[in-house]
Amino acid sequence: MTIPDPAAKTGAAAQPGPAAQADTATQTSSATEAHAAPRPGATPRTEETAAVTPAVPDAAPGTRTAGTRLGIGIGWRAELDLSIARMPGVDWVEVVAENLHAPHLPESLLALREKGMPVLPHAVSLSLGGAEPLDTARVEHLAGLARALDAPLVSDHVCFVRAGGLDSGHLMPLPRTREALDVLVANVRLAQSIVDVPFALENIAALLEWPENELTEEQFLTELTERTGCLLIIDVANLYANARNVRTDPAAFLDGIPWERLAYVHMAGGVERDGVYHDTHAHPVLPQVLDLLAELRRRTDPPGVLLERDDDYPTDTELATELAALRATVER
Amino acid sequence: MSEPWGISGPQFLVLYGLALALLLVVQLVSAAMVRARARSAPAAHNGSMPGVYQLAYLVGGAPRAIDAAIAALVERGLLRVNSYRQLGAAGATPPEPLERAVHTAAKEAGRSLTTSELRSRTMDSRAVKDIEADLDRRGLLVAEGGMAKVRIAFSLLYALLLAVGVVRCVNGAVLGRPVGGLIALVLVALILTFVTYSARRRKRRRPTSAGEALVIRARTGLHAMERPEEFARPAHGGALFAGAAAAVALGGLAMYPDEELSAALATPAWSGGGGSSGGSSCSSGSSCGGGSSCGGGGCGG
Repeated sequence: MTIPDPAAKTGAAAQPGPAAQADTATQTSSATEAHAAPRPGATPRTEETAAVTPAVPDAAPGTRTAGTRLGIGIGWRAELDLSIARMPGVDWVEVVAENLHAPHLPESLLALREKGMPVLPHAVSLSLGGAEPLDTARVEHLAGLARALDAPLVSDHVCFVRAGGLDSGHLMPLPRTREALDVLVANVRLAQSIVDVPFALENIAALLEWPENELTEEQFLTELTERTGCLLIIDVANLYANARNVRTDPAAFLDGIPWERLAYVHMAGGVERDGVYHDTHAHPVLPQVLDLLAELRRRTDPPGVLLERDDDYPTDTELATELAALRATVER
Repeated sequence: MSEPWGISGPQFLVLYGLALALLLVVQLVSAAMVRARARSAPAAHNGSMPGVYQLAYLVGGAPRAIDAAIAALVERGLLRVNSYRQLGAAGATPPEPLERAVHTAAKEAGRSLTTSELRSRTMDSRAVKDIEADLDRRGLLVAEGGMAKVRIAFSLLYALLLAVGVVRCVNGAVLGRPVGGLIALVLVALILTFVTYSARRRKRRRPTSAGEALVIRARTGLHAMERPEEFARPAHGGALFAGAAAAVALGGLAMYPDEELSAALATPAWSGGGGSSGGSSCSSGSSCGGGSSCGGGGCGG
């Protein structure tokens, strides 16, 4: 069985013109914000000017709402809390919303907030694509967390996790039909009405594709952002996983994403077993996934890139090296 | 009216008390003699410094040796400690036997462990036994030899006195005699029996005087490192005394050179080393978390 190599595919994908290249090059200096010393030759920039990133030629000026310039971040996990606080090159962190409670935030996380580090809650249980009524208590929990952390935005996934009263424990892909999109849009709008900050949605890795799909993933996401005004988190490892496992075309995906809606990018490690790529979050980031991030970088200057590591943690040095590799890929 | 066993209550009380006291004195004196002889036993070691974990063992037994290894691994990033005082293995398992044992125990636990959990999971490892055997070979540990048997013999003698006291007590009570004083002495016998029996195996083997001398030399060496103006040169080569392992070997985890990590590594007195305080909110589940509670690993979070 031959598996198409997405890296090869994306390598031949759309090349931005020289103008776009030059434009994006001027954007890279602000990514580390106050956490890094100003570099020689870097133009001083306020957050506001950095936020309006006209890196994409076809992005209408002023439509950029994905504001906050984040830089390089890492998924905050209790196991890693002291490591993260001491690690060089961490500009911000993302927390799994379901693991925290606003009145009892971990001391080590509050210490990061006091240092001025952005902490963004990321939910996994809203089941926004689910056909059942949205569990607004979960959204309120997320909203409360965002307030407690003074987070610039919150997020969940384009998926469902519950159906018929059963909890799958996994993020399940939606059939990309108009009907499913209508349900998703309604739920996202309801969620947006509950939280006080912008809402972002992340693409997931699918091990199967629904046969009734009417839209490509990029069309689905684009329409979702158009109808709800939500932002996007693009998980490059999930994009890679889909390319390997359900043979989607990552170049077409990257070409079809409305980059002005990009909140930030997720990166994670995984492993390939028996011809299936597993997005384990317990392995190093594959070079192919890093290549795909470089491919994304040719299209936009992501406001933030986040490394997710959930298990089988490597040494601090290895994590810092992975973060540095992400920085090297996007800050060119 | 004849006295039970032909002996009056007060007489029995005095005799019983004397017997208990005599046994205690004999036990303490014999233990002191054995210890003195063993301590001054000629050391077979050639005066060279043992490794840092051997040294840690001399200072504080197997637990201290393991703590020193934990410190070395934390310093090298191969063990990670978080603010919940939980330890987890990271990176590749190191080759040094004790470090390997600690790292493997942390890795195989499948969850984060407290320092004391990790310590107890490493206590019976081959590496710890090898360190003990090495120190024995060098004559740096007081030989346990027959001490355990001697302590068992003493505990049996206490138990015998205990039994006699209990029988006399019951007999006296049946005959309606006052037994308050005897009950007090029987309780003393019970405590001595229990203490002697439970201490039959020393949890921590003591160093011989040669072993103690090595510890003192090591402390001086560490001191010399800290105050170079007082000492021309470190007495025994800097390498041994450098780093977190040496500091912890001599002073315990409280001496880990990084205050924050030291606080995270030290087991709080009140916890008894048991449960994790608060623990990872990730593993404790969440009232509102639903299914994928932990970041959706493997499912595209």
